[in-house]
Amino acid sequence: MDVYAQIVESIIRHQEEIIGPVAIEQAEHVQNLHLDWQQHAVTITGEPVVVIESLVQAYKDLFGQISVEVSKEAAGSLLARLQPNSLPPSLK
Amino acid sequence: MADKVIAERHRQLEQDLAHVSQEMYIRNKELADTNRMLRLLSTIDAAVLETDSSLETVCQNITTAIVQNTDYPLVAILSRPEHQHEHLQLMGLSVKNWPEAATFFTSEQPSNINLHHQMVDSFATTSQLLPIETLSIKQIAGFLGCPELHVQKTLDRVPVKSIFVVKLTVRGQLVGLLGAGFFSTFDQVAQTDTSLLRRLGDSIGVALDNKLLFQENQRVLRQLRRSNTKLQALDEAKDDFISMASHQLRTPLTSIKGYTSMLLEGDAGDPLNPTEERFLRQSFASSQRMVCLIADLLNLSRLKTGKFVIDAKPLNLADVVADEIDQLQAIAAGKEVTLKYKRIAHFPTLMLDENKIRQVIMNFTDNAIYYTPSGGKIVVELVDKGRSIELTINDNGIGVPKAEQPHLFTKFYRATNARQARPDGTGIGLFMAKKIIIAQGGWLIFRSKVGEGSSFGFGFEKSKLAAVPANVPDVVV
Repeated sequence: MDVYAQIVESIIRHQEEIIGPVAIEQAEHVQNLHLDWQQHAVTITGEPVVVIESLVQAYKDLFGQISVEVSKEAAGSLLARLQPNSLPPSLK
Repeated sequence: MADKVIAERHRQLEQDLAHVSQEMYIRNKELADTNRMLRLLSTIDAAVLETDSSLETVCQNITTAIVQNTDYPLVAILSRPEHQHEHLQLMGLSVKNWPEAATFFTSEQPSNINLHHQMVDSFATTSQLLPIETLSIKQIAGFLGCPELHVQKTLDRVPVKSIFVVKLTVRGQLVGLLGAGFFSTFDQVAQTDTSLLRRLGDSIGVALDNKLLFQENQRVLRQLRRSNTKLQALDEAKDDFISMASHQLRTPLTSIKGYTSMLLEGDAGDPLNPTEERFLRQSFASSQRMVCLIADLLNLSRLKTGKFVIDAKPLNLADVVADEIDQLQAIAAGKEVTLKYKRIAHFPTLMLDENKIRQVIMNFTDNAIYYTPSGGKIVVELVDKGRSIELTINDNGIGVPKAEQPHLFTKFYRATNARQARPDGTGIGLFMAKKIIIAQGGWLIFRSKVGEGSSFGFGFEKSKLAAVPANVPDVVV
């Protein structure tokens, strides 16, 4: 898995710990994001930054800004591996 | 108008719903954080409860559990190897996606970090978040006591930007350090992470302390076992010596006693003058006492070696008591103590070990003579009570202090006032008397009051003494 896929996987995993299966359902509705959650496999077919933004926004729409903070925490250690100009804006 | 109200209510409802969802989310997040911490604490507990595991294994299991259950890329534990050691060693190191990290570090000589290293001292009281750029490779390598190349390779592989260090302190003593690396910079590390690590630090500190105490206990236990083995060997050597010495002493003593008896009976020719007779009687009494003491020592040795056997034969106890009392009359007279025994004419024949029962009678009576002051009186009573018989030796001597009475029949025990009155006693006589009586199915009689006197004796059910008692291999010293 590339770094973006790892970020997506980590965000979904952290959200799942808090809201359960809703986290996976929401992720499955994100365009260009394909999940095989039993294997924790994530595939991004489109622009990864856009996919991550959509995913973060989906959780924000339902649960507010606190869910963005959780997504940031989840991605935290992996963001260091990206160049600053490649970071998804919502996670900065 | 109605549409407007409905729309407004709808909007309000949506707002309320969003608010409730967010509140629920916050509560769920708190629960998830708590759950994560509990899961980690449970793993730590499980690691510590593995009593067979070494301290290194426990620390390694803990760091592995933390790395697996969190996003921290690097976790390390430094611990004292033993409580009394004033240095820390790297005991556990786990790096995400690098299982060999621990081996990579521990392949070298174990690091020894002095507890008073300036870096340890520089940490804040409980915990400290350190930006990695403030530490040079040389400093870190010097602190961990490992080659600089190892630190460089690790940082290349895990480019952490900050390290959170928690001091593991238990009962005011530093037992170790817990460190977690973050890819985030110093100011980006989440407070939830530092709180979690501090909370884990409390548990890990206690866990390490317990493990160190357990290891210390095990070490002391091993030492005690070694000492015990040595002491047992010495004890056996002592028993062998007592057994051999007692046997060797018995033969010449029998000769001394026999010739003294012959002199007293006039077998040497000329009648003895009163002084000669008094001296010889003292000599005879003392040799008699020595016979008794040697018999006690021999029986004690036999008890330990499992050779203590009751050899019961038909016996007239009344005659045996009379004989023993006769032998002790001279000693009692020498101490100006009256020793009385009224022999019963018709007493039933019982199955008893004569030598051993003589020894008990001799012990009880001899004690009574010793611990009764001049002018005192000793009365020996043998009673046939129908179903049972009882022998008591009653004196009006010094008595036994009440607090010491429960210990009186234990090996080598001597009451305080008895030690003062007779410093050379061994504390074996009453112990052996109890063994002999119990081994033949009897019971002890003991009553005493300080300053008024004591009664020592034993009793037997006649029915129990009708048959020959078996040997007593189960007697335990």
